[in-house]
Amino acid sequence: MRMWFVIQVLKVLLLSLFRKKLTLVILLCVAPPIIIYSTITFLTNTIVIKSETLLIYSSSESVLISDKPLSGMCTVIRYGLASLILTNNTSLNTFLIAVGYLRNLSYVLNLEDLNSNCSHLSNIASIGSSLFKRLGNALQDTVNICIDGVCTTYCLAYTHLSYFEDALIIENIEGVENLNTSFLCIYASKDISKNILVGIVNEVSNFFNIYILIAIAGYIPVISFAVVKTLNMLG
Amino acid sequence: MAEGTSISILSIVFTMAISILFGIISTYSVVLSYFIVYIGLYIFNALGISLLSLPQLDAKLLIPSLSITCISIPIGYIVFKLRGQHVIESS
Repeated sequence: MRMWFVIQVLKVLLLSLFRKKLTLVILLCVAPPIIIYSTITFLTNTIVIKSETLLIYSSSESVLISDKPLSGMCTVIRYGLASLILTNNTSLNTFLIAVGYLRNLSYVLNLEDLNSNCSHLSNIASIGSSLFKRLGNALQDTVNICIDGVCTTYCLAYTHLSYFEDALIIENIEGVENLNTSFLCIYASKDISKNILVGIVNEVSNFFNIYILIAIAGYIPVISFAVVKTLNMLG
Repeated sequence: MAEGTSISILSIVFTMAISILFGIISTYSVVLSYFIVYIGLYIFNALGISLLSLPQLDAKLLIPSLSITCISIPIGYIVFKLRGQHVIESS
């Protein structure tokens, strides 16, 4: 019985395949959704391939401030707003980051020594290059930095050129307990860029898959027409 | 073929044959569209006009042919139930 069934199916199949008109009708019915799907799949694959070439333009490293220690090289920091007291007794509210050891971050922050004459001070600070350019003469070798009304004198030993160009970085994490505690993580920039690109490509692919499903669903009446036509032709 | 066989068996035979037929033709369309794109881009690349990278052969490309095969099973069955008997009688 099973063998008979298979033979009958094959018989109908061969009869259908040898009728060129019938094959053509089915081909015309199934071709549009397949062309839509193939085009979109090829497009998505091309985006994936082309997006990887964009990674060439990524820089070597990237810095993130994260609430949790992420995979990568992370160090505990504290951050918040502080007042920088200038020579003319005016103050400037600025973003402040407190780190454990400033010199450990010299490679990432691209620290430049200001040759300040304040070696007697243990509290050292680095000023962002953009902030340093703007303030210019309003700064001395030693500066007062006030956090919640408590002022401390720091030696302005460095200027950092790479990140946080409008911020102050101080080497005194223990003395600023009332600031937000977080993690400064150093990443290979390409990894982040790759993750972002992969995420975008996946999102695009998901959208495309939904559109493809809608397109194929729209062809159900056409497919049913083809089945009716097949039945009539075989009959 | 209809002699001695019930309509329900005939409808299953027809449904299976039609779904396989749809599967074969849609797979043929997928392969054809892949080769058309591949050959077209290969010619462009050979001429030094690098428009796009050559498409990669992916199992994902067979999703529409599989879905069309699956869709044609209930459609084929319903169509045969509704119109098949009339066609057999008229033939």
